[in-house]
Amino acid sequence: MNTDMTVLLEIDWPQILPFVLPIILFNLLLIGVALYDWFKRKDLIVSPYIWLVTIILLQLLGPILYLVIGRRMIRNDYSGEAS
Amino acid sequence: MLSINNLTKLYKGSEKGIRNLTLDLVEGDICAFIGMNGAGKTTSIKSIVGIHSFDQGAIELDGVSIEKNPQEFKHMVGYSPDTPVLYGNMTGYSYLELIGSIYQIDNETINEQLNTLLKKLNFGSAIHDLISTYSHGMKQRLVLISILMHNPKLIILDEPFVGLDPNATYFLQEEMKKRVAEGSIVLYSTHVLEVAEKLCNKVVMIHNGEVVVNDTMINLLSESSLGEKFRSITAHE
Amino acid sequence: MTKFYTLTCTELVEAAKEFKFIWLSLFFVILGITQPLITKYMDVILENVGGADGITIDPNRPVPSSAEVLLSTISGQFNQIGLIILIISFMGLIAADRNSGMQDFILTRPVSLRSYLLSKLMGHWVISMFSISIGAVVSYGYTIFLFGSFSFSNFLLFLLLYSLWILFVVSLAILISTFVKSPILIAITTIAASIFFILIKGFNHFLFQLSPGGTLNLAENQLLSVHDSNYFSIATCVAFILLNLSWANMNLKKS
Repeated sequence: MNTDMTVLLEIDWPQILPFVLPIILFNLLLIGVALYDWFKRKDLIVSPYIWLVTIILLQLLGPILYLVIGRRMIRNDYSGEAS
Repeated sequence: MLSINNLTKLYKGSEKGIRNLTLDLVEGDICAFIGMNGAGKTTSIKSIVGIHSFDQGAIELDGVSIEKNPQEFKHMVGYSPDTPVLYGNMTGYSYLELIGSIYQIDNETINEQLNTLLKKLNFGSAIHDLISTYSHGMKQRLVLISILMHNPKLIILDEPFVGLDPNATYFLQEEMKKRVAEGSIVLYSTHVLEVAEKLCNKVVMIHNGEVVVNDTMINLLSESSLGEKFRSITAHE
Repeated sequence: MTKFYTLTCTELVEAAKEFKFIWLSLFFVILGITQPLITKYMDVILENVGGADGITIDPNRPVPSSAEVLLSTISGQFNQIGLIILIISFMGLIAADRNSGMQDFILTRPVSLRSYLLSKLMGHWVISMFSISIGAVVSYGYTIFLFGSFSFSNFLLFLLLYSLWILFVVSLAILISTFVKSPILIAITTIAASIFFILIKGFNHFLFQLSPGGTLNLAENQLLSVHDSNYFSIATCVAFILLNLSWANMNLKKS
């Protein structure tokens, strides 16, 4: 990764933006769903804060891995037991 | 009638399990399964309800064999496991509806049954809550409702009284008596010997996978109480 | 049959309550639109995002056809990362039922193992194909917008054949989960087996065409408009699915 931010300015944004926007939007939506679910379950799941970081920092894979694996890793033995 | 003939089920690589269980129960019988933890009670029960296959023997209910005709057999059986397992994401009501449709009971009969059962078990409006919010006792009561609602011929309960409140315990005992009077057979495992003495007319004691007592309650009680018998069997360990 | 229907509905309702349809679809949509966009703007991206100084792109390179882009979306994205995520989401399929005791619930009811297994197969297949279809259709829209038109009927035919491949993967996951207890091992084994089938389909020997991956070849041929396809592999794929299921049935009966 190049950290030189000036290159971002050189991209022809108006040309690309309409196409890139949906990707960003859908990604945000997915992160939103994951965060919503995380918030509801954070007292239930194993190591919730590691999952929070994963959801936010790992683009695309983070939220989906949380939704597929993380939310099922319930602390006690019986999944679905909320008490 | 339920006839179990020479049932043997041993877990691979261990001596644990159940050996040569032979048991005949007729309509009106309440039979207690008694034994220490790990004696083989749950193994026998799981074989009878069809969770495990078994190594040897035969199980028949009214002439229907569990091996040859498992679906018809299971249709006549209601089974409550020692730990209730339920879909957490469902409401109690939709769970019962699911059971109803598996046993092909029409909705009217379900609602009729539910009205009486829910009232008797103090369920109230909680039946429309998600199962994941239920306490252990409530889950147990829900399982009880689910097995009673399809009027099984054979009712099998694995330690049913653990975790039930006094009201539900009373209900279950009365319900057992009522059901056997109507022609059902009840088989349950328990550690509460005093209740079993009053409730049951047959008793099976299992020790280390062997059947040590298989008798009517009256015969057994004429010699000694259940507790004494149990202690004498398990003493030389 | 009514019991199969009831169990399948339960399976689907459970998935809907977990919003599985929504997030799995979102995931495939993102996969589906990323690939055409990257292909289209590859030169812009490479030019501007550094680290690729030595790489120059032939300005006269042929613009890929929409069929090629669709193909790279499916075999590059859906069939790799998408498939892996799908399989991981399957891993709880039967193992979780067994570990939570839910399998005991099914086994003690008057439900045949066949209905139970079929409902699992059906439920997970519907969920997967729902998400994949949405992702694929969005991807199709993007692709024809950016790269020109492509026959929609061919695309549908492709999707149909691809769904057969997914059906096979679900049945494979079911079979493996009757052998292995740990969910993670189930996922790894299923992924490894699927990748194995994807790899051997590349060999152009008729025996390999009869492997379940042959259907995948057939599906891809629909995109490339190759006509001398081996439609026999549909039959073998169905046979493999049935084999997996009856094997799984046997394993469960023994337990």
